[in-house]
Amino acid sequence: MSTPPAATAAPPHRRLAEFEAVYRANVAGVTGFFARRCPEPHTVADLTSETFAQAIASLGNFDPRRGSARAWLFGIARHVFAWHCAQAANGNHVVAALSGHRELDDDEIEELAARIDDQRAGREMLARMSRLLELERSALELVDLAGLPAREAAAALNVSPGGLRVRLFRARNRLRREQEPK
Amino acid sequence: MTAFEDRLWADLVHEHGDEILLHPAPTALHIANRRRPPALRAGAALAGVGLVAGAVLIFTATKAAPPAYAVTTNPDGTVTVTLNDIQAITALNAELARDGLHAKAIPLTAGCPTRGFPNMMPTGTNPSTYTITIVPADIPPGYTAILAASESSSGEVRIAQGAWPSPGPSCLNRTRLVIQAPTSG
Repeated sequence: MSTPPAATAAPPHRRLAEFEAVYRANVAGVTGFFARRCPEPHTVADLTSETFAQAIASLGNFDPRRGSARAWLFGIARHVFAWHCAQAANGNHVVAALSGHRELDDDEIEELAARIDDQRAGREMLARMSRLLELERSALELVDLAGLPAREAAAALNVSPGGLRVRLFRARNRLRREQEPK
Repeated sequence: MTAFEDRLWADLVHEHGDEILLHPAPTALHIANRRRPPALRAGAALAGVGLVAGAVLIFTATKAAPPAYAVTTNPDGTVTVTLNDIQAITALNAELARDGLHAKAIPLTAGCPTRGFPNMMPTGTNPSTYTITIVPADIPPGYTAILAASESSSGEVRIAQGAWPSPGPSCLNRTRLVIQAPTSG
C-alpha cells in the first residue's frame, strides 16, 4: 500500500502544519485589519478568531489558482467585518453569539490594545478614505495599509489586476487632491 | 508570536482541529494543482500528530455519488468501503456484518461522550481512486474497525477509521476526535 501523493492529498498532520503556517504568517495582518476598525480589544480578538474559524470551515473553497492564502484570508476578514457592522447596526452582539466570546488574559488585552494604538495612523487614513468609493477604499487599504501586492489585493476584492490598478490610481489621486491646500 | 496569537491558535486547534484534519479536500494552501476526482476525495493515514496515537484514515464522498454506500471485497482480501449518505450507516453495517467483517460504522457527533480511537490500526490507501481500504488482517484480535462518519454542512460524508475493543462504541465525539485520542488502549 502506498500513501497518497503529496500534491493531491496532504496527510492530516501536514494539513494541520500547513494551516498553522498560514495562520502564523497572516494572523498579525488580520488582527491589524480589525485593529484599524475597532477600538475594543475583545472585538478585535473575536473578529480575528471568527475570520480563522470561517477560513477553516471554508478550506475546501480555497483555490490557490485564484489567489494567495493571504488574499483569501483578507477576503474573509472583509466579509466578517461587514457582517459584524450589519449585525451591530441591528443591536446584535453577533460575534459572541456565533463563535462564543473569548475571554482574554490581561497580557492579551495589553497586546491588542497596543495593536489598536499602533494602527492610529491606519485609522486616520481610513477616515480620510471615507469619501472614496468602497472598492477604491478597500483596494487602497489592502495595498497601502495591509501591504498586499496588487495582484493579491485584486484577488481578495475579486477584480482584475488591471481594474485594481485603475482604482488605486484614482484613489491615490483623490486623496492627494484632498490634501492639497486650497 | 504573541500571547494572543499563540492562544488563539491553541483555541482554533482545540475547537476546529478536527475540521482541518478531517477536511475532505487537500489543504492546497500552497499547492498549485489540485486533483479532485468527481466522486471521491480522500485523506490519508494519520500518525504522529502531536498527542495523537491512533491511526486514522479519512475519506470523503459527495452525496451525489451513488450508491448510498458500497462494500467491495478486493482480490487481495482487503475491503473498500464507501459511504455517500450518512443515513445509510445501518444498511452499511448490515452489509459489513453479512460479509463477516469485524467493522462497523458509527456517527461522529458533537454530543457523544466517547472520544478518540484507543488503538492504532494500519490501513490501506489507494491514491489513484481516493478510497480507503479496510485490511481485515490488520484488525487486532478482539477489536473492531470503527468507521466514524460525519456529514459536513455541504453534505459531504467524512469517515475516520480506527480500531476499538469489540463491540466498540455506538458513536464518537467529533470535537477533538484526533487531538484527544488516548495514547493506549
